[in-house]
Amino acid sequence: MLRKNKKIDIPEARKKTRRRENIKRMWHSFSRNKISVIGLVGVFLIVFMAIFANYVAPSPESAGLYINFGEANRPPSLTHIFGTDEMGRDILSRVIFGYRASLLLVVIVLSIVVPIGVTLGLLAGYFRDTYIETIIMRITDVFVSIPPLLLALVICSLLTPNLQNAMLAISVAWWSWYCRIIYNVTTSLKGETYVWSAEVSGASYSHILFKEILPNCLSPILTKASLDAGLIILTGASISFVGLGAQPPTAELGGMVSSGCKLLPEQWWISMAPSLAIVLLIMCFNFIGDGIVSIYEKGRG
Amino acid sequence: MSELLLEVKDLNLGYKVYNGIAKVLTGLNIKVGYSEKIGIVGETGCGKTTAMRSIMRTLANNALVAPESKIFFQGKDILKMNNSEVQDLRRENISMVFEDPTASLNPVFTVGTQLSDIVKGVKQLKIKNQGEKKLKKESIKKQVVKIFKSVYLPDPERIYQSFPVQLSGGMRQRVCIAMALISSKELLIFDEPGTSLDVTIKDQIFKLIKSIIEKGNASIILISHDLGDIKHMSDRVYIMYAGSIIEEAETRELFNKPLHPYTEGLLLATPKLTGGIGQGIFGNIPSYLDPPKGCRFYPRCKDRMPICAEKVPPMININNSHRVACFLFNKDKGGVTINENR
Repeated sequence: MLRKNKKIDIPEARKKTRRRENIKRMWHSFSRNKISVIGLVGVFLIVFMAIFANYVAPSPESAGLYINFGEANRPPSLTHIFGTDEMGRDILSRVIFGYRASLLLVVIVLSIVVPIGVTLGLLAGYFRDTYIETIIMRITDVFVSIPPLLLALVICSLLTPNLQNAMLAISVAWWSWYCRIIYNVTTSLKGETYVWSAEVSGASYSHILFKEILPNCLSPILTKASLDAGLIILTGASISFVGLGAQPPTAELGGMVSSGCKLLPEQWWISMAPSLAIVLLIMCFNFIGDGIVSIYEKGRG
Repeated sequence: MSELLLEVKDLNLGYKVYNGIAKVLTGLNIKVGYSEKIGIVGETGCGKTTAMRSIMRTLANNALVAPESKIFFQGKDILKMNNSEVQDLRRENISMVFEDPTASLNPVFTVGTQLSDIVKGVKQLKIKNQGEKKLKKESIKKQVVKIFKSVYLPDPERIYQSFPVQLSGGMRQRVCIAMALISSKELLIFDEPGTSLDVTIKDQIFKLIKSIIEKGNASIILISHDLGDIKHMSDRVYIMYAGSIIEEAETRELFNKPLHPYTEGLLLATPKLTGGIGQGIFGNIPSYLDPPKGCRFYPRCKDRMPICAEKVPPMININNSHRVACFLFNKDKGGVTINENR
């Protein structure tokens, strides 16, 4: 027994418990607000449904080109919980498939926008008072000054209307905000002594930018990203509402609202279900955002 | 020039601010020989840190350096180096320890990670220059732990995995000193290493620095407000006021026979354990935007003469190593000799 004990690598064990403790602490401050836990569960459920849409949806064929006039325009009932649309497609199934498009939009837009915006912001903030800052920030100012929805609509109307181009348009309209925020954080972090001491010990620019400053910018990035997720969905839905996003018969929440709103007073359920679905998803994302804010608001340590 | 490690020659430096140019350093001259211990004393805001920043070339973007200024390090002009040369210089030749150990460690990484990064950086340079092999993670860690032991940090294995907030102030300063000692450097700059620590910890840190000084043969520049520290640690002292050196002398001579009125004032301002607060010097450092035309100490000087308001006093050699910038010691300009005055 004694010999076995000698073999335990204490530092390794400590490292593990420390990481576990860290996660525990983060979960504690996240879950202090019960609503953000609800948001997290909601997003998990929605993501699960969207990934396994083929198995979860009651009639997966409704997502595409499917016509069943015998079942058209049925109000909500037990067989069709959200009713059916004017072509007899099950609205619940279409909502689930619509989530797939919306979440894809969020993931792709954020993964384009965050790296670009953050890198430019770091560069501009670190090389403040040089031509690099002037070039980056003046271009950013132009993009910030135009409302993102308007810019995205203009770009979409110039391109072939489909989901990819909608993603592209939203990304072009969105990166400037990340650049702006990270620029501000970086300019204040640049004066910190640890950045200076990294410079003094001969660190390269990439080390200073990505290993000294970036980890300290994480909280504004995460908070902004989680709150933006909802806004991006809304923008995407607005674009397809005007008919510039994913084209029918693809199930897309904005497009579904738009097709239902022609029949609004009588067949209210056709546009109500996708609208509620949008509201639910955005709410869940915002609840998570609040939770992330409360993880970071006390500072680390 | 060959016997000098570092020579700062006529360094003129200003900061561009919204209402003009703040002329911070005016004709700064500092010489550091090989394995010499230099002390620099001066009030807050008199340009000590700015001078060190220009040696390390980490000046703010709004700093303007006059073209005739020169900083020679082993014969090479630091101000004319390109970026990669400066980086090599910082990695290989000069290290710096800062006033505030809490602020100079990145709060989101463990202390060990940060030191390992520096070990890797130093190693990279050797790989580039001498074709050495890359280090494995384990041997980097061993090296860091060894450095921790050399600055007498207790339980180095634990500290390796601690975040800076989990350490005490004295431990953090030790970590910072360890950082500066990773590769053997020619020049170590200590920028007020004891200021943010309490007296007993400060004492320990200074003992540590002293032992480092005695072990290695690096040159030291020690910046401090505290004349007591300077007295124990340095061979030669520069007194700085408002951006220029006003007196330089060997430590013992300076403390026995201070010449410049400002130096005298500084010595008198030191609180003594035997009671009473020193007389000190009234007033503050002048505005750098619109400094006095002549001697910058003129408005506060107790021995001022009419000429002081008109002309900048030149450096006057008193003897081999003792120089002072004051008209009191200039016979030609109506001043008095030392013997007559005191």
